[in-house]
Amino acid sequence: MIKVNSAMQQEKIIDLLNDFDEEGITFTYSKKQGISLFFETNAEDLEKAAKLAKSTITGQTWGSVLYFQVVPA
Amino acid sequence: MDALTAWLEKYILPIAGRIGSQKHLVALRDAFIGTLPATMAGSVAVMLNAILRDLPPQFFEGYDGSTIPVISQIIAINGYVWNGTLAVAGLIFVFSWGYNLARAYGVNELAGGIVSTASSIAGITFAFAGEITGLTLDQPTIDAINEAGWTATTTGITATGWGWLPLNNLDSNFFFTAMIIGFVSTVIYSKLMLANITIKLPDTVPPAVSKAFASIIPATVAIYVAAIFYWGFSLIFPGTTFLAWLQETIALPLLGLSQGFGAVILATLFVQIFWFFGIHGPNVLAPILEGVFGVAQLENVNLFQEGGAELVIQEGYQWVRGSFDAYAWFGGSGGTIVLIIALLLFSKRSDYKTVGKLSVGPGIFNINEPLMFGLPIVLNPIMFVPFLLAPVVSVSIGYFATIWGLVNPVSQQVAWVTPPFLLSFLATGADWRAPIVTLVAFVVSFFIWLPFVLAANKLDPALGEEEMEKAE
Repeated sequence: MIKVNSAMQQEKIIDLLNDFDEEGITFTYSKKQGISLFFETNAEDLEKAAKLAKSTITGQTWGSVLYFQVVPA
Repeated sequence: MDALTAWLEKYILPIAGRIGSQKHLVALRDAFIGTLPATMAGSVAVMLNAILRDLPPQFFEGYDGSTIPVISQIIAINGYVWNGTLAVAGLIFVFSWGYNLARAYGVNELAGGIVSTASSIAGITFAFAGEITGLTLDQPTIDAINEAGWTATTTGITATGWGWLPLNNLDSNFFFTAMIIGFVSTVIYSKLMLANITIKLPDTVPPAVSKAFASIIPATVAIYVAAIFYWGFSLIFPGTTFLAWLQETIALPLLGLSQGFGAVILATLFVQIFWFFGIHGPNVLAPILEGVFGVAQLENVNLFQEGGAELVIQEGYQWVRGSFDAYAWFGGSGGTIVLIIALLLFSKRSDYKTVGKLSVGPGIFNINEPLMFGLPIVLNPIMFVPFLLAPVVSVSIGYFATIWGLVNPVSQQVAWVTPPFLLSFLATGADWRAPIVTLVAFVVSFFIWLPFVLAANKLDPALGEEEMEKAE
């Protein structure tokens, strides 16, 4: 599982990662706690999954100005 | 807080998003970052000279580094490094600017850098002139000087020469000209490339050759447009260059505006507000932080190299990009290292203490992500006031200490991950008073954060224990 800490654009992050499917890695939104969004993932390497998620969010127009954090949960 | 967040997401974030992702502004930010290899190397050289040449005389009378073996050689080598980096920082920037702009348009970046450089340099002066008056010269001397190419009269000499690029046209003074001319010329070049107004060579030609040939027409047009502009400018404003005019009418007033207390506080506040609401403050404000305060810092670095801290005080800028790091952002934006200390000493919440312990290591290097998202600080109403107030107060302390002459202005470029106190010491050219100013800001910030840490103790202390159990 990975955790995305972001105060903003939570709905967009959920939609973006739910639709993510690259290098065989997928994410499924699990739950929210405050600014933390938890995603189940099929990736064995959680660090790699977290990096992929982060780069995907940063690559969005609305993501480039976000201050957020993605870590294995 | 949810309503406020929703409002921010609907009205402010789209604007911040547009600013932060606007390709030209992103290219500008990346252009400044792109110069780091050179400007940091130059800053290391200047800093080493500050420690070896300028700091010891403050404590040892008669110290002259240029006469001490090994030290004198190091000082000389650092001088060469400065020559190739900060002395021509504007030249390095203009290439980086064109490169990044062309990349933003998806065209040949190398040609973009070249176009930006050529177009911007085309309009700077290629000659020097200097005059000495009040002399008494005899005829043979006058004849000899006139024959050599200068102009001499019985009372003075006018020295002129063509084929010289003045260094003060290639350093930080070049930035604003580069930003405008480099922008226009690279955009013209890029748009012509995208419109396919290019020379097309057969596929059998090597890619490097065909790429270069493809850029010829767009680059030539772009450079000619710049040249025609300079020619027109010279007709309207004879006797001055666009660079000199721009410095006087726009750059220096803008840089001067940045030195006002209001401007400094406004920049601080906006950065903190953005961080608090989960927006990357420095990214969005990069055009101001890097484009204005950053340029001011480069000017200070060069002044320090020329004449030490005294020259920076006389002719430089009091508040520059590195001043924020030196006096306010110790531990990270918000001055959060003092929060870590407050948490470890006074927090009764297990979750806060756990986050505090985890944040010590990164905090020493001014990285506060674990704290920002761990406590969290982001969107945490308890932390809103101190997160805004502490840096504003710290900046004020640093600002007034600087303008009142209690500490030298920041004149060195120091990596922001340098631990506090050491950062301010190095950033001010090894001014021993700077860590003291940082310490004062530190202590004041601590007492701003403390009441809120104590207030947080009163909020559901059991929550901390539950989180601890989950973590275990």
